[in-house]
Amino acid sequence: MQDSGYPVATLAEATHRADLVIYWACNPIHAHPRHMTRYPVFPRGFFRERGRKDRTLIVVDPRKTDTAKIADIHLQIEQHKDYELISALRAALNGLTIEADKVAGIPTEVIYQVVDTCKSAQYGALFFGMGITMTRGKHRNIDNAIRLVIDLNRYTKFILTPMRGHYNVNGFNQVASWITGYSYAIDFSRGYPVYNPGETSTINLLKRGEVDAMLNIAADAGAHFPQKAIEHIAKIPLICIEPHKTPTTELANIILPPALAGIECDGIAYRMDGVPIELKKIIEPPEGVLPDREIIERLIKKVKEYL
Amino acid sequence: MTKIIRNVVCPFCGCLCDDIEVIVKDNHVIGTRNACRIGHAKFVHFEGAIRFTEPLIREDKRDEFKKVDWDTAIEESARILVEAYKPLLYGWSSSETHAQFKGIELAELLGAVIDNTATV
Repeated sequence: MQDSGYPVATLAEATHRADLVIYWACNPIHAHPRHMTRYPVFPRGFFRERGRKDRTLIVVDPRKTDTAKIADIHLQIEQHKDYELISALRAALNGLTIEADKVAGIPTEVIYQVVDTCKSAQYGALFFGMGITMTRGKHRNIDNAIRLVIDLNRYTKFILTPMRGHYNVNGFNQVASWITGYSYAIDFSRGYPVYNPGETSTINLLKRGEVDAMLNIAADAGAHFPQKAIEHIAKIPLICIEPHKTPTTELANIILPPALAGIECDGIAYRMDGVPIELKKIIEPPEGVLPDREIIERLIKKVKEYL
Repeated sequence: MTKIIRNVVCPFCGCLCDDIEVIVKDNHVIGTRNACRIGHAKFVHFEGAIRFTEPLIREDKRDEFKKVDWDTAIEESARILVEAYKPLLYGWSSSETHAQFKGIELAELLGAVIDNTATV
């Protein structure tokens, strides 16, 4: 992302303008159930008065998911071949001839057809999910996808938005970017921020056994990490800031219970398109729990005493 | 007494739907309107979830947890982080922005690695 830029637009803009929507490697019907009904597919927009009828929906997914079933075009791509397909689309877009019959399991004529659909759209929106960022190629896939969007912008207006899982993944990326210049995997051990996914990213650090203590906050490492990374977590002291019993807290040495942001305390979160939205406090937290920010503040105070 | 709170933002996924109506009775969420199934489950505590309400601590990971007060828990956590050669601060994605901001300050103080779920 640092290499290519980030051509985004708000979800509302996509709702009002988009006549081509691509879901790449995500399944919003199950993972973001209201995404299609609230934003870019079904609602009537200012320039898309007939709603779904005015839009073309393309889904790229190796499986026939429920989202793929309602798509106009479903590209059933082979697993781990996202980079190849993006490159093929870019090649077709830039007027090169694809000599192979199939790329990533998609017949070449379908690739040309998709490129034509993209070029003739008035406003295209590409939404990508974890299926592309977490398979072979990782963040390089996104670099290539961003280049595809840049190439498409020579013909028409095209934007891309990541489908964020947790409600404030984008918030961390935004905050980290404006403080350190990098969006995640930031290593301060040299006194200044260093970013190099593969070297400074969590899974790789844990697999190599480089870290010797861990603080886990507002995520479930124990449920989502590969086995080898979890084995290392089991060996080192683990502090969990976590409201519920999870697979991660089973490995913890210390559990600090926080209030649930957005339900028991207020705060700000960034939507997947980068719009900050204020969360509401709707009920009082149970006695004896603190908001996340207060726990971290108290930790900072104590750490300063010890340093 | 039941009251309905309108225009609540749902803290589950990156869509942050801001049109949720939450039905609250005696400081408990008893229902929602407009939310999807996942968002509804986050508001209404689902059966079987165990909520921690006090800091817990244990020396050995095979032992049972003991309850402690906040001061001791924070002291012990800070000691672990300061004594570590290269601590890792991971997660942050289901937390709000102020906590993340403070978290980066903490990482800088400790010389730690800070990372969020975008990395997995």
